[in-house]
Amino acid sequence: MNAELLYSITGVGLFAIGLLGVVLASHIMRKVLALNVMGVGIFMLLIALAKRSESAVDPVPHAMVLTGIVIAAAGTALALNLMVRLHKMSGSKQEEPSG
Amino acid sequence: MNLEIAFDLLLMLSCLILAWMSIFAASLFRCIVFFVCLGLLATIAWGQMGAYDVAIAEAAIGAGITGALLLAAWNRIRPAVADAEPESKSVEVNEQEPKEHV
Amino acid sequence: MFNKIDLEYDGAVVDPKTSRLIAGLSIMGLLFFLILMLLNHSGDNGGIGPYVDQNINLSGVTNPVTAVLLNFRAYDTLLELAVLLIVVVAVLPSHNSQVPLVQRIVAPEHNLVILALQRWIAPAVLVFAGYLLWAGASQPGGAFQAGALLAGTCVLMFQTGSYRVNYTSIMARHLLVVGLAMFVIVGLALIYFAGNLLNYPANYAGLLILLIEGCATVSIGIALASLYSSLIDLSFSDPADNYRQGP
Repeated sequence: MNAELLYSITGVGLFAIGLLGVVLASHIMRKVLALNVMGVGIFMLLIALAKRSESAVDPVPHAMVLTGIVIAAAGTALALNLMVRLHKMSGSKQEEPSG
Repeated sequence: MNLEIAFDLLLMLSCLILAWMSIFAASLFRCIVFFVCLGLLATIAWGQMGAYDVAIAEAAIGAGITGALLLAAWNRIRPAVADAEPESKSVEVNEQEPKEHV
Repeated sequence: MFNKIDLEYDGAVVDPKTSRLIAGLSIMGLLFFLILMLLNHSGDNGGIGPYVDQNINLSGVTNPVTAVLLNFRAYDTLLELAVLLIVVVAVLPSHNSQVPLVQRIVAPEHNLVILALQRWIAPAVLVFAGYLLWAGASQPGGAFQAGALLAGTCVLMFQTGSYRVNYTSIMARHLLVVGLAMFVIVGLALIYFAGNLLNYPANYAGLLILLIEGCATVSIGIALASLYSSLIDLSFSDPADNYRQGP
């Protein structure tokens, strides 16, 4: 069992946990966090595969992940803005079910 | 060699546990803190994989800026959370200086 | 939370345990399938890493990741800057373009730790961002990392409220678009001179990449900082009064 395989399996596991969170979590902020966890899983899978494919490291997935990190931050900011707006409109007295 | 594999195993196991906790932890504040920790652990992991550019970017953007964004948004929706959560000790501390944690 | 948005749903209450079981089981199945695929993946197709290594001399930089980002796949970065700009336009308030970019106001409370951080850490972080930008040509680093550090500095300066940045002022708008604008200008100029969009001539590639990266750093920094400030509830109409009310 080499390290790259371990890292890629962890990436898939992070993706699955994030998907579970997106489906099951009830609070919107938890859903946003779960989307980010999915993103981290995908990035980890890409980086592990870049190391795995040959002896030298493949720079193309690294560049894709760099782009993806910035886009994920921007998407998170947009989602959080929408969440705050929704919270303002729908009132603040609703309880959060512990999901 | 064995030590490296053991380190990788520990790192990956803690990544998975932190990922679970960052979605399903008891309070939203803990979720955010766990998520920032997950970002930092992912930074270490990508340094292990030789992706130093990505590790720097993740430490700065994924853990830093995203954590700040999440805390700022949490600060905006906090009263509802404070009503729902009985354990409001840390929340009270936050109310005195809300900018500290953002 | 947010249940009131669900206006239409009037059916029976779904059993949460069953839905959790179904979701958990199906995602476990997906996880199993993906891990099986990973184990069977041979991974010897090589990717396009060798082509990057062969052509690295033509790119003007020696760091392969920077070469891919700003030369070989510059379209990605161009579109990424556009996406970032669209998100900023979506979340920024649309008023108050008269207030200047940076205002210094007297903060009502002084937090010594944050003040010390502002005085000591912020200039060092600025210098380090410049170093990362310069080192990105040959070592790990580059525009995104430097931009993120700039944004971190802006967030730090925002903490005590002694500096107020108006991200909708004319100056800030220009800074927000300068990265994308420089990218597009260089691309159009290259269409005119070299006949191909973003296909740098080998002699000027390093210079052009540094130019684009510098402008992109400023844009990314301001954009990320404005995303942060959009989540802080401060309106810019009367800064001192609004600050005393708190976020």
